[in-house]
Amino acid sequence: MKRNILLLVLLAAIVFGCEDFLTEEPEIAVTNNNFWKNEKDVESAVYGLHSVFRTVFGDVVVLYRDRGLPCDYLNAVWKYPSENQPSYMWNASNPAISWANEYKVIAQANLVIDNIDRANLPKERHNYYLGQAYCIRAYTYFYILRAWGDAPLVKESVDVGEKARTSWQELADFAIKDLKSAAEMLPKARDLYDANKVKVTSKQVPSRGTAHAILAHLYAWKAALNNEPELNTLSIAEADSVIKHGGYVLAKNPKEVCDVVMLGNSDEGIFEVDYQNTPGDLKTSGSFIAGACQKWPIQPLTTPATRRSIMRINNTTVMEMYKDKSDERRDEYFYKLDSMAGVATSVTQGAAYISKWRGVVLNVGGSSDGTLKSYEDNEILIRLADIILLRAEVKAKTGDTPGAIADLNTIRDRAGAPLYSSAEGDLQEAIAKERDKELFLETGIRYYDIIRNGTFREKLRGKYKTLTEQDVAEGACYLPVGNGAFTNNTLMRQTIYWKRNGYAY
Amino acid sequence: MKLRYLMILFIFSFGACDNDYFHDTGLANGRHDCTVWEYLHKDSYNWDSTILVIERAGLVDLFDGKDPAYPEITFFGPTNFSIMQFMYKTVDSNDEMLYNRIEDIPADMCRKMILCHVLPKKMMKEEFDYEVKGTLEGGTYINAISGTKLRVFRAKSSYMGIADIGAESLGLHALETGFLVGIASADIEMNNGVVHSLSYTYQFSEL
Repeated sequence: MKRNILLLVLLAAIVFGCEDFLTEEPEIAVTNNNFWKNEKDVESAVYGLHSVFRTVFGDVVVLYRDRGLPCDYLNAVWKYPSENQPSYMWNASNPAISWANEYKVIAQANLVIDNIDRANLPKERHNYYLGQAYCIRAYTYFYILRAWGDAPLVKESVDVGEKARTSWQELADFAIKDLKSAAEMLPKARDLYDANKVKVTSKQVPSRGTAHAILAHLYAWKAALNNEPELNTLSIAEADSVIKHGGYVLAKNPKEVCDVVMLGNSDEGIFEVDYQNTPGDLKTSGSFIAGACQKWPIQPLTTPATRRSIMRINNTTVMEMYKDKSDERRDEYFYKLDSMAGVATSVTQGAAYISKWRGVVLNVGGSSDGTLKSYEDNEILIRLADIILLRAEVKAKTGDTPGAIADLNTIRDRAGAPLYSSAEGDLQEAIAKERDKELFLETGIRYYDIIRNGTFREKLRGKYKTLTEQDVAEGACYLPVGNGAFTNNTLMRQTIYWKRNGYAY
Repeated sequence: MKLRYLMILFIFSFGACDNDYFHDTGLANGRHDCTVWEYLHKDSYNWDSTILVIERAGLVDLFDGKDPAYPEITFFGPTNFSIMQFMYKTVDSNDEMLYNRIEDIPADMCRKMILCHVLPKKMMKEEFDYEVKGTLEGGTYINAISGTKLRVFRAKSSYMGIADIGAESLGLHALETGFLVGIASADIEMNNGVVHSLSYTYQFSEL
């Protein structure tokens, strides 16, 4: 009996004795417990986040989702979605309606946000990285809520399992909270330094100005779509922070916009997807809007007669858009608009020669010597001119007419176009047209401008023209949800309008 | 014993099919013992609209070797598909087709359009120079009968990743308008000239 007790005690000792031994970290695997040790670790995780962000927001599907291009000819890839008949083009599993990639960005941001404390960095460095993750997560939620409306809200990396859609207003509030934190944490664009104390010039790295700029857009969006005009004041305040204190400077003229701003990381750029002409860093030219709309004279080995078969904008449409001959954007965004319009349409297809993106990279040597390799332009997500014109729009909505006109004229003046006169008629419409002119073909801008201003029946095409209020309330202006979101998730529901229009599953 | 027969049968069944399935049709014979005009009639799938355009242009003699000024010609031939594309895509401001039949196309226009596709002498593919790779220069600069300045060039391509050893193509570049047209089938030779057939994707136009 005594022996048995002794054995029992021994056994008990063995079982309880090995605590530390069992929790030992595996030496060959990277885990959250052994990874986050110093600033270099945090930096590499944040670069990992940037890498995912760049892949996702530089992807060609982001272009395909752009349903507001002001072109006269669009091939089927753009035409049907632009007429709000996506089911002709995109089936249930098409990547263009899947948000899986956007949630990869959020997952990576959550990973950084949840674990950065483990590294015990000095406050300033801690904030520099954490602010970036907040900013990118918020931008991604803002993108999701504009594109799909209600969507799952994943707040932390351990938050797994079935998820229903959270209302877009709640997503917006979550993003606003993130952005407010980011704005406090991040330094200005010109004061960003990496772990090696090297100055950061890439506009993909968010700064305080980036957070304010996204907030300005987000407040304006929520003010318009959730009918909360009081948020417009906040939008103006955020835009003020960007314009007055962000340290951004408008390029001198439209030529500099094309040569410098569109190339990327300029003083006008606020938030961009950054590409450099280094091995393995470029994306393909087809993933740029420029790859779809520009041939001659930008792309090498082309002539005026080289067919443009993806999208075209007619000379007459461009002339109608840029009415003033003094507007320098006519001859910068387009190549010799007036004289090329005189060439036979059998050559020109009646279309203007877009030449806004100029960062051409050529293949060197081999059988494809001298052909287009790609563009090294950044994808410009937000730039100062955008924010100035956004402030003009919101000021006009809040009744600050002189302020709105001043902002509108800032952009017109830079383009060499005549300043606003009341003879032009409706100021809000003049500002919307100015955004079309200034931000011509920049990804995603025009569609969301039109939705924000509720002018989709006048300005978009096809089925958008006949949407009823009920259709809109049921989500007709959002993308349908791809079927991937329904896998192992019984709580997922399709947007009501799309359940009726080709995406019932 | 039965097994042995079966085995013999089995062996025969394998050895039976020699090379009957292999038909060596030889190299394509690009030589036609007739005039260009007669050749076009032989291949209605490609050329019957082209014939109508030539008739409308009043240029039958040129293609039939009866034009004393041009005993031999080179024809960069737009096929039916090119002409169809021209007709479908030539529209007014309401997107209505301007020409529903070839008779609707003005004869003078047909003449201009055809003549800029014809060289005043016979030139086989080998007689044209190479393009300077990576540029839009090099090749043979020559005027069409219409006076249109053309650059006709050969280009080398790669094969299995090795540069310049692949197929050689022939191309046409109208220097003023900038049309760049690929030639799908070169050196179709007749008694009074040669036809280089243009790509199906080409839209017939005045070069």
